This record gives sequence, C-alpha cells and structure tokens, in this order.
Amino acid sequence: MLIRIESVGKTYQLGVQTVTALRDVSLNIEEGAFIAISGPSGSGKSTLLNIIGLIDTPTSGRLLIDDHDVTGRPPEVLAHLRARAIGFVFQTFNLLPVLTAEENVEFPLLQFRELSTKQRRERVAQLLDLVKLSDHARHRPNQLSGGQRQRVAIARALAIGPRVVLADEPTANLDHRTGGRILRLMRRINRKYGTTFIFSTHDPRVLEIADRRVDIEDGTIVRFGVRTGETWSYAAERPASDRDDSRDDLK
Amino acid sequence: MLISIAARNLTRQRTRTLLTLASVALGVASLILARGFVDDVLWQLREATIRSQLGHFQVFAPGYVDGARRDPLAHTLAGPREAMAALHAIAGVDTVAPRLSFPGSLSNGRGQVPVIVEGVDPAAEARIGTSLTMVAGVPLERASGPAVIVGEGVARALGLHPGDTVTLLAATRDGALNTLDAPLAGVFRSPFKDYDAVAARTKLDDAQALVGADSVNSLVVLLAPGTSVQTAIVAARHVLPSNHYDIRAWWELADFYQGTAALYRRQFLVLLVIVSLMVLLSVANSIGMSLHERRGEFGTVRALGYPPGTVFRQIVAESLLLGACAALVGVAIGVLLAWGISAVGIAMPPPPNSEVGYVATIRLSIASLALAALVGLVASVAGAILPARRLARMPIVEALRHAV
Repeated sequence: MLIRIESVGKTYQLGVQTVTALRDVSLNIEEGAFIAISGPSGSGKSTLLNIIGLIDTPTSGRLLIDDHDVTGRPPEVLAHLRARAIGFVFQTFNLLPVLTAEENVEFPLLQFRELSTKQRRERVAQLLDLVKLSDHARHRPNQLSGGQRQRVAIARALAIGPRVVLADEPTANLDHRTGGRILRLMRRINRKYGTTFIFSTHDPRVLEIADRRVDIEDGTIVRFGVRTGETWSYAAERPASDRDDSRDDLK
Repeated sequence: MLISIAARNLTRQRTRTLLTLASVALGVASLILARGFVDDVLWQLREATIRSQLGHFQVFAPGYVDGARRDPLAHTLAGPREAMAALHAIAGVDTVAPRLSFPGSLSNGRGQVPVIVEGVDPAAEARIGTSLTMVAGVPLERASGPAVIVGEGVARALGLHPGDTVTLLAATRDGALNTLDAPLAGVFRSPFKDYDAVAARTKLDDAQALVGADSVNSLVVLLAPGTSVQTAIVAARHVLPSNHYDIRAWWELADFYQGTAALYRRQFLVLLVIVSLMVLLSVANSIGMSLHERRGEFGTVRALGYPPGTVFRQIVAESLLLGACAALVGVAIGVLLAWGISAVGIAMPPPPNSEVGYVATIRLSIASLALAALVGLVASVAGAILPARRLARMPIVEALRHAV
C-alpha cells in the first residue's frame, strides 16, 4: 500500500476556539490511483491532502507511506520525503515568479545532487515537451496564461519522478476548457507512467475522470466510491485499521 | 542558483530595493564623511602638535619627564653631541633639535611674567616649528646676537613689541639668580594658547649661559615624511641605551591630543552605532515587508522539499547581495562627496586652547572605507536575520495560504 491513513484527526486553535478539521479519518491509497477527495468548502479535504503531502501534521492517528510510519518525524526528514516522493500542483499554480518555466521545473531537481546539470536539463526538456510547453521554456510565469502556468506546475510536480502527485483544486483558477485540458493531461500521465494522483476538488469534471472518490463532510469521510463504467459504486466508511488490504474498499 | 535567484528577487521590486539600497548607501556614505572629518581633525591636530612643540619623538635624560617640573636642570643629557650624531645616522631622521628648558620670568621694566624659557637651535627649530607663525617681528634665526621671541600671550601680558628690550631672569644650576638682557626679536603664535601664554625662546648658547649649564635636557627629532615613528624609535633605542636616554614618542607627551582624540573617537563610535541601527532597522523593515508578501513563495519552496535552512539562506543571500551593492554605492557616494567637500574645505573655528582656526577636509583611508562598507554589509545581513528566521520556521500550510 502506497499510503495508509489510520484514524487521523486534526484540530487547530482559532483564537480561543478549537476547530476540528478532521476526525478519525482512515484511508488506503494504492499505487497508480487517480483519486478525488471531494466535498464542500471547509469539509477538510485540503487538510487531508496537506497531511498526505507531509506539509501538515495530524493531531492524532498515523500516516504510513510504503508501510513506514512517518507521523511525528522531524521537519528535515519530512522535507526529504517530500523532495523525493511527492509532487504538488496548487490551485494558484505557485510558480516562482523570478524563474522561467524551465527553471521552475528544474528547481525541485536542484536538491538531487546526484544529477548532473545535463541530466537535469534533459529531464526538464522532456517534461516541458510532455506538457507541450517547449516553446515557452524561457518565459516567466507572468508571460504565461493560467493554463500554461498550471502545465508548468504539473511538469514541476513530475520533475522528481514522484510516487504521488497531490493536486489541490487544480482547475479552480482556470476556465472550463483549460481546466478540462489540464485534467486530461494529468489522466494521460497517470495512465502512461502509473503516477498516483490525489485531487482535492469540488469540480465535477475531476469526478468524471477519477477512478476512485472519497467524499468528505465536516472532517469525516462519508463514503468511498469506485468507478464502475459510467457510474460509481459506493461503500460505507470503515477505518482501514479494521480491515485487511484484501477487503479494502478502494481496491 | 541561490545567488541568481537572490539577484532576480532584488530586481523584482525595483522601487523598494532602490529605497533600501539608498538608505544603506547613505548610511555608509555618512560614516565615510564622519570618519574622514574626524580623521582630518585629528591629523591636523597631530601635525600641529608635532610641528609646533614636540617633533615626532624626543630624547630625554632618565627622570626628566617626571621630574622636570621640580628641577629641569638636574636632568640634562650626558653627551648630547654624540646622541645627536647617533640620531642623525638613523634612516628617516630629518632634524634633531636640542632644547634646554627651565622656568624663569620675563620682564620689560614695567612688569614681569613667569615664563618657560626654551633655549633652542634656531635653524633646527625653523624646520620643526612650521606650525609656529610669527605674528610680529622676525624669527629667532634671523636675529643677530642674543635675542628673545615670545608667545602671543606673553607679549600681550607685558604689552611687548619687537625691538623692546626684555630681561630673562632664571636660577642657575647653583641656585643663584642670573639675567639675560636681549631685544625682543618677534612674537609667535602656535596652535596652543596655553603654550603661547608662557613660552619665551632664546638661542641655546644664551640659555646655557643664563643658567650656567653646558648641556641640554631634550633632543627633539623630526622625521622625514613617510617614515614610521615606531620604527625610528626602535632604531633610536638601539643606539641610545635606556640607562642614559629616555625616548618618548610624541603621543606620550601630548596630553591634549590624547584627550581630544579620545573625545572624537567616542563621538564617532556613537555615530557608528546610530548609523548601524538606522541601516539595520531600515533593512529589517524593508525585508520584513518583502518577506510578508512572499510568504506563499517560501511556503512553495518548503513544500517542494527544501528544508527551512534553505529558505533562511535564500533570504540572507538576498540581503547580503543588497548590502554588498549598497556598500559599494555608499563608498562611491562617500568618496565623491569627500572629494567635493575637501575641494571647498570646511572653515573651522579655533579649537579649545587655540586662537588659530583651520580648514578641515574629509580624509579618506582604506580603513575608513572598509569599515563603512562592512557596517553597511553587516547591518544589512543582521536586519534580515530575524525576519528570515521567522519565515523559515513558519508552518508550510500557513505560508501557502498566501498565494504566490
């Protein structure tokens, strides 16, 4: 199992109030999945995605990657794991404004000292070709359209050869047509390279192409869905710790 | 790539970067000007001290410096001619002037004032005493026969004019009183009012005859330009054994210079601290605002797997680059302003203990330029450290809430 979430809870302080963002969430995600975490605003889907992406920490429960418990690991270890295994695609693209498209894609690779400059450049060129932006390699983000920026962000997320790409509302800032293209691009990459994609979204188009869905409300998973043709077959929520992998609803 | 990104980030918000750069550069330039002014004031005071009384160093008989007040004639040099010859042989020695100083009084028949009589070699003193200005009459070397010149304060006290006959009265080595009648050749003004109020100079032979001594109690040494005082003193100590000769550098004999230098240096130190704080706060404010706006960017960098230390280094690199540029610009501005101000000159009123004003300039040195640049650089980096640390430690999720 690539990712195993066991009874994860997340609370945080908002002034004097304690807000519960997630409660007792359990989820298994296998390699190669194309999974959408769906729910209304404030339901906890972004918090769940952040915890999976190791940029936020659960208040309770455990997170396992490749059966290794990463809960409570020091920031440096989590940073190393993110650098080697996790790609991010953000709603607001989050490209570094002073870098060109190719430099943005190359940026995460600078942490890989084993790669020569030539190897880095070759990989960047391949990725820009993959997202069809070779002609815009020298453009800075402010010289690119929203769709082009998001394609650069996808190339950047894929640069490290991640086990999983986390996309937080990747189509929210794009027009309908461009958003559709971006989703199809990610689906194509998922099918071609087997890269795991996890979306947090309330965009129905994401749900149209996802093969798994997790519906979340008020910090709790309310149902799991597995695509069967054009429809979803749903299963009731059950903590992963209560089940063995052979009976996993997501399999 | 760190430096490249830092440079690009600096050019990203040109107005803010230019304002920060200007404030650091002005701080650096102001330090150069302040330090240059202080250095020039001290240099002029040093030259006035050396070239009016003290020379670069003096040779005394042991015990003279501490005991001269009680009995100067008891501490005369043994073999002054041999000592002068040995000093002349030292590389860089320009002039050696023998002096015999003792207390006495000066009278013109109508009144009498206490004076310090200095028996001098007029030709040698003319080379040393370039800071002495004759305000009336002629210098001693142009007077034939016995003659006396006095400081402006002495002349004023007795209403003396060149050509007046004056009487020097002093006690001989044996305790008897002796007098020297001589015409007043001239009246001089040195940079030091206290000295002018008590100084009376006569030729060495006449002074020796007055007190019945055939020796001198000091040899004043003037060095050629560019000669190291310390090196020359070391050489002098080598040829003049310490059991017979006490060698003192000019600064050991110049209490007024030491006090003034300490005062100016303390003032400059205060200015240094103030300017450093101004630069630091300016940079901290500017960097703080910039980083506040770029929280999302650094959140992204952290999300991509870079540890907090990288974010910290990135921010410090930007400040370092900004500080380096500002220091260079500040040095350029400071040097240009220094040249401009020095070309015009700053008319200064007479300092305390003087009646002579002077024109100050801005004195530049590698050390003062380096210090000012270093202050600009260090303050720039220091100003960024706290904001950088805060941002590097900010939770990634919180930083990412502020979209790039």
